[in-house]
Amino acid sequence: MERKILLICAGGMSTGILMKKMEKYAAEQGITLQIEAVGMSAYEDVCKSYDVILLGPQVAYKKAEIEQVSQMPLAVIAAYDYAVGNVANIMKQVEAIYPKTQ
Amino acid sequence: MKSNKEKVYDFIRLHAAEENSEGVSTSYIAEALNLQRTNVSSILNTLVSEKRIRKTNGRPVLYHTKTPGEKDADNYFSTLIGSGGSLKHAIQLAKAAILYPPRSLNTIITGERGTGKRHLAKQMYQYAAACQVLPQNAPYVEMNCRDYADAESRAQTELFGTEGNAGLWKKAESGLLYLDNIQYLGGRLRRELAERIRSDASGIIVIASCVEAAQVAEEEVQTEFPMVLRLPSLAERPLTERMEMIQQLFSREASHIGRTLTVKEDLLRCLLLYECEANYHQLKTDIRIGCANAYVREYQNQDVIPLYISDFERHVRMGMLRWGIMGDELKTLVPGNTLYSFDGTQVHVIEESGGNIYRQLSQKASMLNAEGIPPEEISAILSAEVERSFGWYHRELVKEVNDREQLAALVDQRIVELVDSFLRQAQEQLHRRLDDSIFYGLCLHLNSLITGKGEPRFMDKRQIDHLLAAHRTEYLLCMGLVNRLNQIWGLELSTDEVLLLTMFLCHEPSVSSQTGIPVILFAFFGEGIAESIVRTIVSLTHFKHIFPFELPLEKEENKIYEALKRYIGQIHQGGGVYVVYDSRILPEILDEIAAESGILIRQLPAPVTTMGIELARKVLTGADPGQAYQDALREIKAFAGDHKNYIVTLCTTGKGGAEELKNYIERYGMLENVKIIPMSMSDSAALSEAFRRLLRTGTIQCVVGTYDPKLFSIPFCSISEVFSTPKEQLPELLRVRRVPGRPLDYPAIFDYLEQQLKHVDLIRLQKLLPEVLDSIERELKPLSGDTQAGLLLHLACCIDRLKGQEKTPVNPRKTDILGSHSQEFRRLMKLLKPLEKSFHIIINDDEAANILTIIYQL
Repeated sequence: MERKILLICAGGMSTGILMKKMEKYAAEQGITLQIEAVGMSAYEDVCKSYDVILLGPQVAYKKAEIEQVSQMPLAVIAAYDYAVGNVANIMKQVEAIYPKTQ
Repeated sequence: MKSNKEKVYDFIRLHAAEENSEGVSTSYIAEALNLQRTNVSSILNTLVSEKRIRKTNGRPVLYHTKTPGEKDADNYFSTLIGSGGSLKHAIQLAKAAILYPPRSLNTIITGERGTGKRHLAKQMYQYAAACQVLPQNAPYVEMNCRDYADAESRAQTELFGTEGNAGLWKKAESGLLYLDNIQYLGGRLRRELAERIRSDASGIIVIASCVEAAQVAEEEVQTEFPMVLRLPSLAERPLTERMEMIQQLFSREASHIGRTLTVKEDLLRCLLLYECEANYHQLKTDIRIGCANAYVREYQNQDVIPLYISDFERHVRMGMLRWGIMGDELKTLVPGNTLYSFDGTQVHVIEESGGNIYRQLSQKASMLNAEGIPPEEISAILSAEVERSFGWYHRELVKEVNDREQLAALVDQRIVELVDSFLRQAQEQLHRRLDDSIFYGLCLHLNSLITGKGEPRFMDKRQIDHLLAAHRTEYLLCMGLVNRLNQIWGLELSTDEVLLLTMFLCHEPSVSSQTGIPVILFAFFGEGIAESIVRTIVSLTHFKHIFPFELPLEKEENKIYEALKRYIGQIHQGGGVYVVYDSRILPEILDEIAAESGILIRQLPAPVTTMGIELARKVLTGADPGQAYQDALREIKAFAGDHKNYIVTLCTTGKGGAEELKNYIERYGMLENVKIIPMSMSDSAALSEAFRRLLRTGTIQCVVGTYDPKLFSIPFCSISEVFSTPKEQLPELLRVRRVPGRPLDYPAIFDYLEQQLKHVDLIRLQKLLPEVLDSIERELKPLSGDTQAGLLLHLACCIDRLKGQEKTPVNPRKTDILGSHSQEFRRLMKLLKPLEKSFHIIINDDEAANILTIIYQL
């Protein structure tokens, strides 16, 4: 299984620590994960390389705007899962929106 | 009833004990005892013929109980209070001095001011006359040397005379010369005195007095005064003797005024304990002043004059502060609820029995009636009395009863049931909760009515009108109850009785030990500081109960303690005292005063001066300015100590319930900074003491439990309220701040961060971040749960990468954001300061812009 996920938060750093945890989780689960964490100012350039976008809860208010710009499936990570890095739950969110065509 | 003869005899005897008393005249006795002069005259003649009293020669004839003669000599001094106690030794010595052969020993009497030195000297004179040591009609001459303190030549003239003019010495020859305050007599005169004593042939007895024997240590004088007697100060004498003195003094005042004086136990306790600087003399003066005040207040009163604590000078009232020290001894000597009545000849001790309001009122009414007071006035007096007594009656009724089990033992079960259903109905109609104590009170009251312990009762017409107008519903309800009582027990109740029942429903029982208004005290160093603070506050708020206390800069602690204790006692009005202070030594002093006086003291440190001193010292010693500032801040924190918040969980039955309740609240309450204290006490005094202890170190936010102890106006929540309130509303219910950062599970978050972050001290982070988040919410903007979680992680990562000197993501909109939110930017940077300091990082503009973006969703 391959998953391409773009994480977006204000500066790209707090999602950065989530990214590391997700990579570890994917390795354990046998998922080929292509993942990147970026700040809001940088997502436009890279989003095309991914299938879904996950937003940090602190930038949830940007959801509509990013949806419009990227035209991609998108979810806001639940605050609790985000705060404690509950990757299993986050992956469920990913599965829910992941394009089925593949 | 005592016969008039005995009354007269007692009256004379009482006066004979008095200082300076030469006896009393017929007309004085007649007036004081309100008897016909002719009757008194014949009684006196009988008493004289029975040799029980003696009369003087001369006009007017004075009557006296002292009958001189050897057979009575042994009884001399016995009228002195303490003759068998603290004065026993001194009196033995006094007798020995007089009887010492071949001629009496000259004596020095020592003792503090007002201990009765002069009185003893006179007694010695009378004793000498009685024992025929001195001849009949021997002179008694006294001189107060203090009057001649700086005038030696006048003293010389006065004492030893001039040519052709006999001095006091000469006049006193073959009698007794009393030299008061001999320490004021100059050395030359003392030597002359000694000389005269040595060469005397008349048999003069010289008695001198001074405060301490050391004051007349000159040898040539001392050899002439071989006997030294010491009179104990009032404080050294047992309370029982002081009690005797007080009673004697009141009796005397009563006979002077010609009225009966009544004194309640609280006043008596004050008089027993207050600091009497001038000993007996002061006691006498203070009692006289108190009686005079009461007399002025009640001069129209025909018979009984009640004395109140307020009639007495402030220093007397301060005796109250020492009630605690004496404890049991005091309680045995002056039991609670007692009234002492002094009618000039006798002391009656009346135990104020709590139970019967009617009996007291009827007694009072018949008393007033007998005095010819018009009925309207009687009822006016009584109605005020009813109102006052009702609260007290009610308290007394329910004092012993805490639960239904106890009640059932005292009261007919049918009454319990009747009252139960009656009160339920009343609650419905009145739309308010009636306190349990009303239930108990009413049960007990009805019980006394039905068992026939009630007596006819009185109520003023105005009182009736008022009650009917203001509490019509309650009155009608009670009429219903009266009908039931009539049906079941055939009880006929008067309107007054129904009204009394009505009062039960209207009565707000208060159990609070502190009623009165709390006062504020500012205790500050430096001249006029406390005073000007107080003046400022008064002028801004018009709150009057606020007082300054200037802490002296150099006085020792115990002096401050004494002065402050006195002052707090003076300003306290029953509601406790807030003390704002700036001295390090005060917390302990205040604790002690609170413990000793029982006054609730709440402390508020404001270390202005101390902080200033610290800063000044730092600057003077050239300390680093930043460090000095830090130290000053720390100083303030240390000073404030840790003021705690408490919640008390309270159960009557045992600590188990209280513990359960505590666990529940701790588990679900999400309460910030609060300590929950389980207690199980039904004894109100013990509980009050436990609360007082907590209040010294913090605030009791509320009491949760099975019953409301109504102490110190602390809010109360019933157990059922706690359990029926949704958990997330518990903080509001319990009046405590909620733990900040509501839905976040901090331990789990920081576990996660610990795995991911490399450079940052997690323990410190865990302590600081929630605080910072909380301050952002408080000062900038409330945050949604999403934003909170995100911001928390964002800040944690931000610190971590700054710590690790990793690259900061550039925020391209930085200039815009910081420009449009310059205010918020400044405030944010201030809130982030603790992070910068603690982790030694600098949060740059890019980071700040990112944080602002998150907070304000830009």
